[in-house]
Amino acid sequence: MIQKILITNRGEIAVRIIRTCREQGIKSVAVFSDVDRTAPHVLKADEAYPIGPAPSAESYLNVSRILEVMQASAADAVHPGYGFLSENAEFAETVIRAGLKWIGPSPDAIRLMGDKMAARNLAASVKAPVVPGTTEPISDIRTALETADEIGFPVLVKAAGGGGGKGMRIVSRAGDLEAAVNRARSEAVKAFSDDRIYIEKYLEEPHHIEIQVFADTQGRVISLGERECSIQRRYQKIIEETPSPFIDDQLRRKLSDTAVEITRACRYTGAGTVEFLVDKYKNYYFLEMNTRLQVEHPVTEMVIGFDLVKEQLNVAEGKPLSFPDKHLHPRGHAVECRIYAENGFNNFAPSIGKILELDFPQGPGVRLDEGVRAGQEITPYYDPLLGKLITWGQDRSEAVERMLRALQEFHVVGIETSIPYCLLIIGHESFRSGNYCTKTLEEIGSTLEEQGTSLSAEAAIAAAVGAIRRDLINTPAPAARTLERPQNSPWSMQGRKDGLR
Amino acid sequence: MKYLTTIGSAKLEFEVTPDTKPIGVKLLEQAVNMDCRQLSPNSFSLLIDGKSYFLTITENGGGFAVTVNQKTVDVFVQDETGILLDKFGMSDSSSDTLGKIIVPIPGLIAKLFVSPGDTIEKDQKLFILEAMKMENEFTSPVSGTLSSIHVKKGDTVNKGTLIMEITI
Repeated sequence: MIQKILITNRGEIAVRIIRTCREQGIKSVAVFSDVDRTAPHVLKADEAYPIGPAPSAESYLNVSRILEVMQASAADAVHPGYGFLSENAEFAETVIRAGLKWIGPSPDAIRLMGDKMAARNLAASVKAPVVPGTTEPISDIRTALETADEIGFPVLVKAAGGGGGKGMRIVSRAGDLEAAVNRARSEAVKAFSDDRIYIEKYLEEPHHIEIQVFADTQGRVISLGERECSIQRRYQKIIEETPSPFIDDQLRRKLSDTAVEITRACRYTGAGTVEFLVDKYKNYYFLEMNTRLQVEHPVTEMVIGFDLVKEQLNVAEGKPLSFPDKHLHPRGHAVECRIYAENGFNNFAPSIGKILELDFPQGPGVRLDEGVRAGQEITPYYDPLLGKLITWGQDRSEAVERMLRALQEFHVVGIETSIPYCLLIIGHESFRSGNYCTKTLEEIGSTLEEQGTSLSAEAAIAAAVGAIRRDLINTPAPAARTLERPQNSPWSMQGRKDGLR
Repeated sequence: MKYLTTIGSAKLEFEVTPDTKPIGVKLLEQAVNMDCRQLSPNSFSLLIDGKSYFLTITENGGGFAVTVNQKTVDVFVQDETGILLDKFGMSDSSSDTLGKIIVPIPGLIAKLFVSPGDTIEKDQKLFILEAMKMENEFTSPVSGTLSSIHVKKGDTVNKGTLIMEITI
């Protein structure tokens, strides 16, 4: 039995894991960098240990320091979350060698599926369709050009170790290929110390649809259904939902079966995600497998009613999965918005600074997985994900209306967030109708930008009056400055209180 | 007293009597029926003709960033003194800011392509700013001579940092 889990992560996912630990009566151990001493994951865990300076390479990726904490805390299991060390096979091996339980798939499965080309070959071996493209890393620009010509422009230039849009470029003309390859290579070296690049066909109106799979050590492999993740900016997901409004039961079954076969073929255990691209003709192609818990796992949890972190713990302890024997009965619809510290109307520029005020949405069908608190400083060192807002409804329209309502209730003062941007996307006709693909955001981007900065006349008057009222706090009106004020004016009282702060 | 507010290209002039309770506000000679309460240092509740607005307001470069209905606008407020100064042409002008290269996002200076004294063509690559592991290339908005660089390779810079200056 697992008694104490070391969580080698930060932010919302660390908090998410701590919550399940607490519910299961398991002690949680947090690690933190110098700038994260008062971050929520540290405040919520049972124990917390410093692991180094702010940059990830010196803290959250600092394996030797993390191993020291592993010893010092006497933890008996490690949960890596997502990102950081979660898909690092050597780290998983080190943890296992030290006699701790690794809450994730085997190092072999991580290594195999983490290598995009090996994963492609494995998928092909179970007859899963893959996107046409190179199966070997491109060695020189001439072969790259030949391949691109063969499969036809536009092509996608991708890094072998890549993910989350890093080291990825679309190229529509032969003349741009060389520069794109070089840039992708340089980003890939920095982000994953792996300079292998390959090229594949760029699909028409593609949908990014993924299947959540789970496998236990008894040999059971199950699909928990799909997540539609086509709303992306810079190749990074921002809004996800389940079920997908695009696919029918027949395609859903095919994707699930394919995902289960791939999972079985790589002798997988634990939680995993098999990603597919589905084009407008409903052709589907295996993209990659993520060998970890996914950011967007809560939408699946909301419709199936199971805690996926708890199931991960079951698998790590060698217990069978607790899903029902035959079929899962997903209920209703769930939507997730990723709340990032960034400005959607300024090229998704990251926003840093102190969160001065924070007001979380509540109410029916609302779930928030948050990793920040009021008063916290948002630094440029880590992923800008502040948290995830998830809504559930009996049907899609109820989930969507709840999301609109919840986003309107969500106030963050001090930094810019993706909340206004998500609100406009969710409210846009293409999202409401469920008729969108991975290109939609790019197409409607400029419309959203106009809407995002235009106020109704009424709202503009409100903003102006509010600003005047706020200005009066800084610069009291001349009359107020010279006149002896009667003691009963609430305005002057407030002014004085502010002055004392 | 008079207050002039500017939101983008829209200007609204209000007549405000701050000493009455509630505060008196007139727009275009028309009294605005409103009730404004401060909820916290940065949050306000506003009722205008019974319609409820929740505003968050922070100071932002001489003005205020006001968020209403999840839309944020910059509002500049001038009182009578400010309006007068403007009339006499005493507000600061900003015609020579074109050659000042300022980053709109925080990040790491990954590469510098130019040195002081270089002749710069419009659209010439100046530097690469790495933010959240993405490379952002900055090109020159003007042609001229690079007069100074205020950072070096490897520096972490905040949003709004002056990186270099180009004399046109």
